[in-house]
Amino acid sequence: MSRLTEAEAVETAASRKYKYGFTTKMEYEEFPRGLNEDIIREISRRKNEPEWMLEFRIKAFHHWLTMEEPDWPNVNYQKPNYDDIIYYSSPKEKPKKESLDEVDPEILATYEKLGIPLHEQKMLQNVAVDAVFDSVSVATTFKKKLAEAGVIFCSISEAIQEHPELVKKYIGSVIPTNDNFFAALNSAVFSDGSFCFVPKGVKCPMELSTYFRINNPDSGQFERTLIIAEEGAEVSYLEGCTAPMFDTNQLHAAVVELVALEDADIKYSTVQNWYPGDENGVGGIFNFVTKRGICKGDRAKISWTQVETGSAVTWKYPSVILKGDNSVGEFYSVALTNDYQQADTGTKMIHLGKNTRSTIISKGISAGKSQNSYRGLVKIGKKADGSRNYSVCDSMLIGSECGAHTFPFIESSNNTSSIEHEATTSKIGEDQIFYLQQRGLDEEQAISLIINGFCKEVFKELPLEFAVEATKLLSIKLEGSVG
Amino acid sequence: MLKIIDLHARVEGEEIEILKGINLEINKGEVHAIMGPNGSGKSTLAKVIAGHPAYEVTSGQVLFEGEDILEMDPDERARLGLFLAFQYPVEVPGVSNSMLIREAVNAVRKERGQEEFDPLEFEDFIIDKLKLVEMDEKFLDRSVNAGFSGGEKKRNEILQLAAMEPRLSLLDETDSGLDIDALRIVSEGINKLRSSENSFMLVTHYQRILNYIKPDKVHVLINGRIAKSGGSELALELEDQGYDWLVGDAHVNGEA
Amino acid sequence: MKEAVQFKQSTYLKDLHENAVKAETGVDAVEQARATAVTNVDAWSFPTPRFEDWRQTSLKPLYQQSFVQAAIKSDVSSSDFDHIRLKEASDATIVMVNGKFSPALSTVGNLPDGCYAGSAIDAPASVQTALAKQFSKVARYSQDAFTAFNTAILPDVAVVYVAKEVKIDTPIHIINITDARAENVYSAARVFIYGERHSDATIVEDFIGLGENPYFNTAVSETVLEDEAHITHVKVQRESRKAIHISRVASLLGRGSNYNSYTISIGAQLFRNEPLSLVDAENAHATLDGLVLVDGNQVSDTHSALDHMKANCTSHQLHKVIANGEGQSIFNGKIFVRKDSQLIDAFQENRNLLLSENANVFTKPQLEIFADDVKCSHGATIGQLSEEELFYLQTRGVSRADAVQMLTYGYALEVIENIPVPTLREQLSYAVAEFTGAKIEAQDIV
Repeated sequence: MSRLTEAEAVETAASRKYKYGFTTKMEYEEFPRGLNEDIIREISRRKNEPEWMLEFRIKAFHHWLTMEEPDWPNVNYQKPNYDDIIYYSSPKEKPKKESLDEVDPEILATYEKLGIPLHEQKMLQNVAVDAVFDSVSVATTFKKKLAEAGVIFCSISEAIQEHPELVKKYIGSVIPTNDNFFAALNSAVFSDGSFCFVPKGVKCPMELSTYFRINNPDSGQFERTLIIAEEGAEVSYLEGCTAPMFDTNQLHAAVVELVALEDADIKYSTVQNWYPGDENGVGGIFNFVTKRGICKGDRAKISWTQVETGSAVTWKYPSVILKGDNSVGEFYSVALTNDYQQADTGTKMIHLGKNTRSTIISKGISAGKSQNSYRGLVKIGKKADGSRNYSVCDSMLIGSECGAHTFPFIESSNNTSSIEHEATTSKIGEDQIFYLQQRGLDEEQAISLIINGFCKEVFKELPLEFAVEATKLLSIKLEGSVG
Repeated sequence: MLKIIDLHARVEGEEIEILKGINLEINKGEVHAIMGPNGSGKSTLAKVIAGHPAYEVTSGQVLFEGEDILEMDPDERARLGLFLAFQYPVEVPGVSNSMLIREAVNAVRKERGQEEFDPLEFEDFIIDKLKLVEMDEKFLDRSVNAGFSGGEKKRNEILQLAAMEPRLSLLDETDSGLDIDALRIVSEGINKLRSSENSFMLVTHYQRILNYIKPDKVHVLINGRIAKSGGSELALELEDQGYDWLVGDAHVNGEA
Repeated sequence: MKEAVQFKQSTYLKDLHENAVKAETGVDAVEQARATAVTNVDAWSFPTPRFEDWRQTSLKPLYQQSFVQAAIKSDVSSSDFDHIRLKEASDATIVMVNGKFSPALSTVGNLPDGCYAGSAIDAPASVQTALAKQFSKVARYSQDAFTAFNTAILPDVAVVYVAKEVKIDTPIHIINITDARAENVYSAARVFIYGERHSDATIVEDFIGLGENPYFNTAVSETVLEDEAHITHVKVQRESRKAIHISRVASLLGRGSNYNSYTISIGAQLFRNEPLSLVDAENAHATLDGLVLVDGNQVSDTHSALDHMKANCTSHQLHKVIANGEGQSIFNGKIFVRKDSQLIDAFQENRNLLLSENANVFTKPQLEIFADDVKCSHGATIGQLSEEELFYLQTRGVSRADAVQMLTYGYALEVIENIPVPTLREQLSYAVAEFTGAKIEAQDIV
């Protein structure tokens, strides 16, 4: 089955252009540019937030004012002018949608174009979708069916209204407001995002999915996602991102927090295809994202899978804190950079509990004039007896003007634990290409096959639909970059 | 089928020629053996015909079915029906064998105006071919040549040959490194694929494989030139006497 | 003699320098380098944990103690270092006491024509030319206050010069002794090694300290390899447990040259080593191997950089660590492959053995690749001895404790066994055995 889809994907790798680069004509309700306490109060007031939420934001804002934009990542870019960003932007016609019929047809059309039909009857079997358009969640599907199972899946704004006790308990518990510059900024100004709560013992009956779309050229997107799996709960969550083409840079500074209690299992998959800028490096999204999960209880498991193909600059380290004994953390990543893209991405695995296990599989592909870095931290604490980490970071270079970098930080203070890290850098072999050409495949097909083979260990972690999309994406992105 | 006229070639970017004027004609239905000592240019000849990018043709022609193929990409040549069984089959990690073969077979079928196989049709098609080389179905799901033993790699080459149904097959030292059982399997496979419609060029160092596959003609390549051509009895002669007695001849021919 | 003064952290090196008696070697190249180093004295920023490269290593043991400049005159005698003498180098032993060449203690016999081993001050014109060309150029100090500090205060330079097409069969042993018997001292050891075209030599640079007082030693060595030169450079750091030893081991590789470097870290309370190899010509090979033994409260930190600046080169780095007690090891190994440096084959491996509950290991192997047609790999492991191997030995009647010692010993030998000086291998084998507690017999020595 998967063989067929891979083959199809190779063949449909037709258009070289960024095909998600259209804009939707919308009327916006916008705030003035720049950030101050008044703006934050206004965001909070508009959203009718409780006092504690406002305090959370204000506290984060004050932290942010004292912080500096990090310059340790291996990326170069013109730092955004934070006074020139619109911190809140939402399509007009609101405030609340009871059903999809009330959503602006333009937005629905946009998601159709993206290949994400929101109408339930057309939906992929068993995927519930929350769509975030610029900063605001516009539609969540399959809500009823989920509710029957006891699963809460809604926008975070709605969760703050409807389930304040849950949000209050967990928001900022994994990523404190002062964690880093971008997380602090997000905590101050986040406008929306997804919330998911899977109660004790419940296996979420379908895949949950959020599609993010930046549409407004001057607005930043600061979404906030919070996923909680109680004891023995299981959930698989997918995230997809696209944006129109603008010749300016847009900032995307999201925060994702995952909490897995005893025996819970959270799987979080991302296919990130924000607009990367054009072939001269003009425009594109700055993707500065903080993602972290905590395995709070024993035997909890958190698994991150990401396929990063978009954005002008990416700065992202989905991490797991392995606090519960016997808990498991996984990170599977494919990061592809082409033209002038820059990515500095990886993971952190912090082993605190006994017999904790982590696995890191990272595949970096650099083409064009791009720079691709893996940065990771594996830390085994003093009390994490019997813990194990296994990491593999492979890089592939296509062309002589790109760079591949590997920066693993590895530390152990426990003499009953072990860490194994290996990394390789190679190029696509001329012999491999010739061999496949001798079997009648043209060069593009040959390269596509080799790349998919290189990434296979990661793709197999993705849900099928995402695996197909990821394969297609890589092929499209790499077209014309070899030879 | 194949006509090579005064072919000269060298490694891209180097001065010294490896092929120094090869003339050879293989007709439909014929099996030719190319023999010669190490470094004589046998493998280079096979690779040049298939279009390996590491080699540069400095002069001469290679006509396949009357058409000069030297300007074609390797995949175009393959789709025309030219197959190279590699001396050292390349490993392609992560790409499953069945996927490669399906893509390859469909590329050829498309070229020939035949309908491409869907995965189910392909499954039936390939299982039939597997029997030919006595390979297990499990081979299909493994990554191409990755972790295969030497014998398995060579059998895999023959499986691909069987699947792609080429008109001309170039077998580059397919016999090297095979134990007697594997050699028997590979040879029998090739014999079953022989027909009046297709041709083979066997590149080999030893006469051993020719006990199983009877060639119509044997050519001895020495120092980039064909030093001697003859019938299958020539191979036996070489087995007895080695190549030394021909080295002088090659020199004379070269001077001529 | 000056009083020991407690200095501020930020200007620590500058203040030490200003309190030092001004040295003068009379060697033009050295004095020029010194003058350059001193002009930047205000820029010698003392590393703090905020420096990315000093995050894991605290210099508190240094700046919280006071030291005085080690005296040039010293009554060190041969018996103070007989135990580390190398039989093979009986005719080529250079002894530097507190950074200064000691003619009385050194034994340098006849070297092949054109070769030289001794103080820069006495070096012939050909050697002076080499110094003028390369001294202080390889160990760059623009980013490194300690190298600048070393250059500013060094009283002398030990030089080994190997002439064109000459192979020196026996190793040359440079013994650096710091005399801390009377008080807390600081000193600067400096070595300059130059191999002309097609030369071949082995140099062992050794560090020991005398006395019970803490001392601070900066050591800088530079090795220049002309085309096709083969130089093996062994650094044996067996300072006293009170030492703070901060060093740079720099090398510049010419076309087709072969540089094999082995650093053995046994002593010191704090050892910071910064190997830097500039592979600036084609077809060269560099080996940067290391063995680190830490226990007690020792800290050993290796920050290496291997820079492939030209195509068609190979490199090999095996860095092995055994941490016991509350010992701490830091490894930060950078491999750069510059743009257009195609067909590089670079291999780096860091293996760490944690033997005790309180030992700590940090490692950060790094690849920075800007060329596409390369084969680079690195690996890092932190772990324990294999249970399987321990079990195997136990089934052969060996007690578990003995099995641990035997395997640890074997683990360390992988680095030592490549050192081409039998006496040194023997000394190091015993040092490892002592560290691991393994009982070894003569036939167990590599």
